[in-house]
Amino acid sequence: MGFVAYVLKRLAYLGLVLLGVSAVVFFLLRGMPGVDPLAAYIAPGLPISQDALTALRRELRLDEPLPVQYVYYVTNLLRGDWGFSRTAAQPVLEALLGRLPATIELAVFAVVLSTGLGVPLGIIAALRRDRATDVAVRVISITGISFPVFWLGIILQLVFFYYLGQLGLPSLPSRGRVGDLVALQSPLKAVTGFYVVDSLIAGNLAVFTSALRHLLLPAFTLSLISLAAIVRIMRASMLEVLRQDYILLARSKGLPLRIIIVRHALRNAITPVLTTAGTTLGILLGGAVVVETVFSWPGIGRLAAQGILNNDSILVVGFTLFVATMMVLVNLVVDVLYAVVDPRVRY
Amino acid sequence: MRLARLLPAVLAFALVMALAALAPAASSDTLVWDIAAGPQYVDPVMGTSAQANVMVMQNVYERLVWYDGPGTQPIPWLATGWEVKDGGRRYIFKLRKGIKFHDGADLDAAAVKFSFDRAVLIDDPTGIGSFFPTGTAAPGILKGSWEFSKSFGVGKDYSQAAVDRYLAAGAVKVIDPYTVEFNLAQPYGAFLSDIATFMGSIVSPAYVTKHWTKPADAARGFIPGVTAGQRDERMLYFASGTGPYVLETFDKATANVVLKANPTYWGGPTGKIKPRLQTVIVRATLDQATRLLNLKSGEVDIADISTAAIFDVIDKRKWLEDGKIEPIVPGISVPGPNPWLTIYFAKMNVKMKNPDGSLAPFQPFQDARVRRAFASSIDTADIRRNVFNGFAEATSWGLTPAQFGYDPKVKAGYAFNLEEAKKLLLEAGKDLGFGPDKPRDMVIIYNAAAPWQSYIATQVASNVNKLNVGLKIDVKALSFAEYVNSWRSQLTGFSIHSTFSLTADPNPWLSAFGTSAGFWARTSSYDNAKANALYTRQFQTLDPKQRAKVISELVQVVNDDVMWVWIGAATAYGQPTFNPNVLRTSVKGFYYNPTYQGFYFPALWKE
Repeated sequence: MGFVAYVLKRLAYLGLVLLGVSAVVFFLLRGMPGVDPLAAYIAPGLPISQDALTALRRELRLDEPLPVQYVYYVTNLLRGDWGFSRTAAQPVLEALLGRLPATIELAVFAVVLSTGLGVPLGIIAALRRDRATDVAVRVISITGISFPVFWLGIILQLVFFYYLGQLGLPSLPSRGRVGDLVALQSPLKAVTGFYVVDSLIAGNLAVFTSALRHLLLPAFTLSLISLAAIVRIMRASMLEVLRQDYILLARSKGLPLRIIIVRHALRNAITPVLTTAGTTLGILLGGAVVVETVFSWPGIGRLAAQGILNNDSILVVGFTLFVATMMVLVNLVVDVLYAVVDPRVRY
Repeated sequence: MRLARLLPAVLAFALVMALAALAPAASSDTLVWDIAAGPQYVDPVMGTSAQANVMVMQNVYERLVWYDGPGTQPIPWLATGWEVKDGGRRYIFKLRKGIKFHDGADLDAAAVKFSFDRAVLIDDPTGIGSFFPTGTAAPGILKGSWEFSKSFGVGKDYSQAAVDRYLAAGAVKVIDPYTVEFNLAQPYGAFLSDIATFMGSIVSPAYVTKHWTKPADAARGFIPGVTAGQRDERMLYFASGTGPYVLETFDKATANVVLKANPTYWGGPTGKIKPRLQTVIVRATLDQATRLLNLKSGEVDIADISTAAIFDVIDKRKWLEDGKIEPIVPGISVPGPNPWLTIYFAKMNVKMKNPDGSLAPFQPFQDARVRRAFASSIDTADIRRNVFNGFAEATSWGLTPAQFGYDPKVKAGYAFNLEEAKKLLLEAGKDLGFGPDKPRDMVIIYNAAAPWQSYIATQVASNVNKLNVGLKIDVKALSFAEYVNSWRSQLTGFSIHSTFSLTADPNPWLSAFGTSAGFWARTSSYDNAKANALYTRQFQTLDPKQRAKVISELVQVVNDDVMWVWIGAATAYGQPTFNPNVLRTSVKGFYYNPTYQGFYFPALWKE
């Protein structure tokens, strides 16, 4: 099968997956016994007459049989109408797309951090196999993943924002994407929606440094989720490669260890790490609900959290579908990249 | 050597940390407020239960009448005064001259007319149509709005003919550039306090019209600037009022808002209001721990601290034992407690239904003795202390002391007394077919997402169960959607709630609890002809003293029926939004007004 045919086939699967996801989400939310879907459209305690409720029910077609409602729902989805979110006071798709750049920026930084930390740590662990350093690296990375993310986020805020600040030392911000006053004094025109990139384009140093500082804590917190996996995969893969004959040859030629690792071993050992990093990116693009909430990061994860708190089922369904789409697309890209990176892979 | 290898990483980190020095520090004329839920939209024609929305509106927009300082009686604001004619069916307001909107346009009678017509014509289901009292007792307030607004009925007509019919009814008329007349469908005692809410905000017609496009659909009615039955997407996030603050930015994604002092503010009725804070930044910070940390560090001046977390900020023992609020965090002040506009209550439903809508065979709450017994099984004092941490006070009926007409002399129809409850249930059981030898099962529901309800539900169930009178009560936690459905569809007999009022006038609550068409009464099938008649009477009584008397009479009638168990009237510290708010001691000028939604920023300054 040719490459193009493969991609087309995968895209066709994407349609099927989304249809499946939409059906599951829709019937779960609308079909639950004893649940009136209308309840999700009206803020609790807001006085509204029975007549108005009936009118609203008719307008939303909630008086039709469930399968008919589903057909309406899917037809609207295909037309780009994902419904209107009370929480965001915006159409759902517009709300999600508007917040996506913040999530992507955070996810990319988190993956860069976890790879940047995980690869060297994995190499060190492999080189010092079963020695104290190896054990320490593994314990630290496992500990990182074992802590609940919200707790870790709060602790990092406490140390790097609060305590450092109280001691009069330079500290890191506790929330948001950019300093409030910086944003007021040096407004940034959105081009890509990524503050780090946009500020560089505009040559706006104040926003650039502020954005970078704001990224550090949430990105680091998020990176710890995948750090353990990357360290372990890097370590195993490196050990595997170090056993190969060509490494032995390189050693016997008297090449310095640094050259052997960086030039010869790393390039072969890193492929599985890249796969993990790619998948992680996919997961993180689905919105890091907890980290975005703790750090008030205005991405799709925080929006979803607000939607859940507001019982905004229209938004929550839209978010679920959106995340499913992102996951499928990212997996597709990773699979395609596989063929590009590794010449042995053919479709 | 090894250290040298680490050098680039160390340098990079040091650089990033050092960049902190570049970040500008907030000056004393900038106030930063961390709020749990940021504003969603700020168009006053759309109703909202999110107080952050209202908080922005009350600083940016102004109304004909409003509140002076801590007072809860509306005084002339954009108006210099008013005349009431035709027995309360006609209000004539004289406007102040020389007031300008933020866009530079003049405030005049046409702007007032435009603002109210706009609210009626946009006809948001949660807007002025549903906010002004509905139901048989009060079919609409502004003349012609009832006929136009489809919040009240099925079938929508937004044609030009419908718009013209509303305009012809003459709800709001311009008499001369500075005189405007309101024509009401009937006398309405709470009219002034209703138009003192954000729903009565006066918007700049020039600003709205400039950004408006005529509907493409010829069948759709309009007036210049307003399309009938259609939300104005731009005005959700932009504003032009006459208020002391200008809406500078509203970031949809972050839900952060920046307000700037209005340099040409007219000064309010006394001419002395001059905003001292030049910039107010309201930041949506969803996480409670982050808000608290920001407040402690001094990064923010005000933070939204939930009642559940209040003992991170004040001394628990001193509050619960001595009733004293004593901050335990240096640099933080916690004003309060003050009476607020939220009430916690339980309701009993006299017409329980099956999921198919038919009547359930067992209807214990139709018997007043059962209702009284259940009410007598609830130790409200214990709940106020243990569930609400003491931030609720006893109330003998569904109003709080912050509301007009609150009368402490009104008697509750019950008191916590388990022996009395037992006696009543044993007697009622003989007629209803339950008894110690003939047990019946019952279920009390609560919202699983609201732990405070679980405490109350469990208390009622355990108290009634131990009376051994033949009622076996089980407690069931429901998801929010199921919970709402359960009481809205009357599937349940006993449920626990809280409700909030936007105004200090009790009318909305009197309607909700006291009239058969009212929101809470309807979902309990409560119907008392005497209460309905008294409600209408208080509604149409304009003299406050007389009206207060009728209100007392009405609530006593409702109380005697024991449909509602008043668990407590919430009290607040700070100026509450959804949560109460705690301030840094550097913030000065704070006073409490229960009708404010969040802070009125011109009152505040920083030292």
